[in-house]
Amino acid sequence: MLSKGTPMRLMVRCTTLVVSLFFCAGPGLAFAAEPGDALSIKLPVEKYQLKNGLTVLLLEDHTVPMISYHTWYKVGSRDEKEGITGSAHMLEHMMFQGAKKYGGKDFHRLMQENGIEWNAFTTYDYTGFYMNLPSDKIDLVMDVEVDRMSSLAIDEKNLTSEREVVKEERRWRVDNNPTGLLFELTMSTVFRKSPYHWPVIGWMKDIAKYDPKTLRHFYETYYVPNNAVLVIAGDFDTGKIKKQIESVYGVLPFREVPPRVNAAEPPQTVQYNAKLRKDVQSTSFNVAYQGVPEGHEDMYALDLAATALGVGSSSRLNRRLVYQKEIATGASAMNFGMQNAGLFGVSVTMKPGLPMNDALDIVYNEVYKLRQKPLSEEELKKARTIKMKSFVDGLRTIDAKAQALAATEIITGSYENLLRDLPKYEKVTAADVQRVANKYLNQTQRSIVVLEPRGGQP
Amino acid sequence: MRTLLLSSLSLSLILGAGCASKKTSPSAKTVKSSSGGMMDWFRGSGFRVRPYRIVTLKNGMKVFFIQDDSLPRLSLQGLMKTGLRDEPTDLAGINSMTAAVLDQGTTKRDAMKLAGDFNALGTEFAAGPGLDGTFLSASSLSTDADALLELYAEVLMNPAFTQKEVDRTKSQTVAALRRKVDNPSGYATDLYELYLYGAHPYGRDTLGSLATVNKIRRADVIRHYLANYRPNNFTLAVVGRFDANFERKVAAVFEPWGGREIKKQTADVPANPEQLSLRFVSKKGLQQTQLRLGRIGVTRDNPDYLALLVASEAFGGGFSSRLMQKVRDDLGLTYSISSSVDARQAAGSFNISTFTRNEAVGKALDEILKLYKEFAANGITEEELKSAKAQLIGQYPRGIETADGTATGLVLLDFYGRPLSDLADFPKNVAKLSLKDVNAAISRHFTQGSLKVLVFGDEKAIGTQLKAMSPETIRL
Repeated sequence: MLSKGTPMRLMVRCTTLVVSLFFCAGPGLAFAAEPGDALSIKLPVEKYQLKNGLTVLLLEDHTVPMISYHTWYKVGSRDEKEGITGSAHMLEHMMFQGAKKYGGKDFHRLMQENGIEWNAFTTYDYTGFYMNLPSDKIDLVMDVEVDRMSSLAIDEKNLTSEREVVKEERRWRVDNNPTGLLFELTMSTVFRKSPYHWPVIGWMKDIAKYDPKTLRHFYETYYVPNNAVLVIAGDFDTGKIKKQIESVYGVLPFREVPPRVNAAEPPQTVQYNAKLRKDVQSTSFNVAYQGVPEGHEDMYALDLAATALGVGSSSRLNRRLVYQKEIATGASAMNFGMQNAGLFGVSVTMKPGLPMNDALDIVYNEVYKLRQKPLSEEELKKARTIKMKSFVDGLRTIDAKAQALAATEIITGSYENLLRDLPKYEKVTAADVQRVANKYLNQTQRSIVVLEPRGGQP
Repeated sequence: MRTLLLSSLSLSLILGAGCASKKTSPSAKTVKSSSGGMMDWFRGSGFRVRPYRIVTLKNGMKVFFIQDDSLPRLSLQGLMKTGLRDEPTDLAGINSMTAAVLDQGTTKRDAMKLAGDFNALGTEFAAGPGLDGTFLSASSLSTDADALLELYAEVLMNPAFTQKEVDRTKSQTVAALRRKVDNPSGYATDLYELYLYGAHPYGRDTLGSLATVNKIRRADVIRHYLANYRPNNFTLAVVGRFDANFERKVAAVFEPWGGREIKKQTADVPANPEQLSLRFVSKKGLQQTQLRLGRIGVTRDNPDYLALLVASEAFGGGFSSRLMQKVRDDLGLTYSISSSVDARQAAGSFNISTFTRNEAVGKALDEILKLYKEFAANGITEEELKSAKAQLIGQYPRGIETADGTATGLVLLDFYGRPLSDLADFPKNVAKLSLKDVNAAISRHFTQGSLKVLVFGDEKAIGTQLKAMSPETIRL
């Protein structure tokens, strides 16, 4: 990570990762980097840094005459504070409103008439901008991205209109969307001190009062080359594009970035409860626990615990709640890792008209069983296969590969962890799953968050 | 759920969307456009549709084989050529239910055993019942290909349809129908399609209705399966890392499946109204209002299909489209607004979809209708044409970047009776459309009749904003 200090060094590392996945049962499971295996995956990535600290990842791939161009910044909602929540997201919107060379409408028009797809997203930990372009448009795209990295225009007029757009986005994603409401309440219940407490899109009261000065400060602080990761995947010549990157981005100055506040949440010692009543047909609830940050040594075992519990129609929760008891329309579990914290959560949606008590007891019981008894080898193998199949499915396009590389680089500090994760799943034992269940999934560590019909449950 | 097949039917949606603004800011003149070379880039790239092989089994089942060794996976993508439109009206939802019960037990394995066996391969059996057809698919790592094929074929050819599983699926379907109103965006689209198509099957929910689902019996499901889920009504794409031996296995597994004559239903599609008509569905407490506008459109084999795709791209395809520039960027009335062309076996639809704050519903509708009126009367400009074509051609390779994307494109072209060469020729066919072609198509399809508008919001919050349009009001 180059966000603090002044490591003005030029680092070049070229790695071709070849992964081979073997799905033998038991301790004989192997993970090898031997090309030519039946399950090999190649990702010939070159990583280096410019003198100004810009991290560059290149993946040359000529499958289609397209390039996927990702510019991700290490800034997200966790870098905000109460009163200006959602600023990182608002700034993401303003990045499409024009810079010194390319004005807002010029930007959209140029992208469109050059056959380029463009968009962006903001998360708790980072903000990503991406373009998918015909490979002969690389000069234009690089020029546009450098322009808005270095000279964004933030004026009151554009902000006034875009503020309304973001309010509408919030209503659509959260205020008028029961699923969004429940997730927002869950995060704010589990995370009380951490900046992961507030939603990425921000509270409505804060959205209403964004001002250009605050956003400009955010931009000038975080949108600097040494706080960015540039991932380019697709149809280009590596030697040629490196020269181009040096020439176009190399002129941008390094600027000190303040150290990030650690977003970790203090350990939870009592159960939290939260309830929301809305005009909905059925009760939904989440049982959530503080998990671990992405890449933490216990992440792999927690991932497999969540998979066994609630991923797939044969998972423990689906089997009991949806299939056997027929009281829920859906039941799932996830282990969600952010940079400094994580969330292990179970979600259940009841059939309309049914109370949640029985379902909650079953969730408690299944979590208790995870703590008391190791998974069977068959169940463990199934969970591993689901994770690995999902990994392979996530690498089907150059855009997906670029996204995976960028996210891993930003969150863990090295894109190579993308493929290093796989053998770690293979090494997880049933005893490991039981151990992490006992460590993280206890009654005093959980939050029960409920969304129920306005009139209450039957 | 109901739009799953529709979404895949349109090449524009496979390929992405977007379009240019009619207006440009003064400073735009200083920025050089380079859209003219899109076809040069495409031709120069040497990019081609992946090679494929078609085999037709003795029972009439067509199989596409598309090899892709880039990742260690294999997928089986099937399309049963039966959809919502083939259901009897009094048994609406029967196709969705049949598709849903398929993997709830076979003659060899019960529902949970099947679920566990699919999950052990890292996959689920996915059934996507749509308006015209039903996607049935599953995928695995390539080392599990044999096991996947066995499970997939078993589900298709030997479903048990036990009373217990039919009842369970009915109960789940009823719950899903009752919960639909909790998703304002999806529910508004359902309400809009019902308003647009009326009694035609396309107006119905893919799941059916509470009244019809409760009437469906096990015998109806079995009858629907036997009459429609036959190999001569089915196309399979085998995609990914496999060898010639696996091709032989596919043929051997499916050959015993017996064919049968398939009967198709037809129904008249309603005409567009002479005057703009508006239905307002009110639900208390909604924090935002959903708007859907549209009209009956074209069948997939209409010769104007591509011209209409280009037109819609310019009007509401992306960030620089007329709708987005005016309604979102200039006026801040929404987060998202788009237009789309859904072409189907029977007449499809042209749609505009957005949402806005409750107090701005009248203004948003006025602005959209003004833009639509201008578009329908005068078409698009030369600048917009170039831009829309550039977007469609520029994003085309992404639509078929994966072997699965290629398979979807081929299977659907085959389903709609289009030449398979349309997939490879898409950029060429788009490039040759002139402004005259596109505006003539707009004139042919948008000057007669008017739009239907569906508004889903809270009457109390919206107040009198819609009064001038004399809406038909329904209160939930």
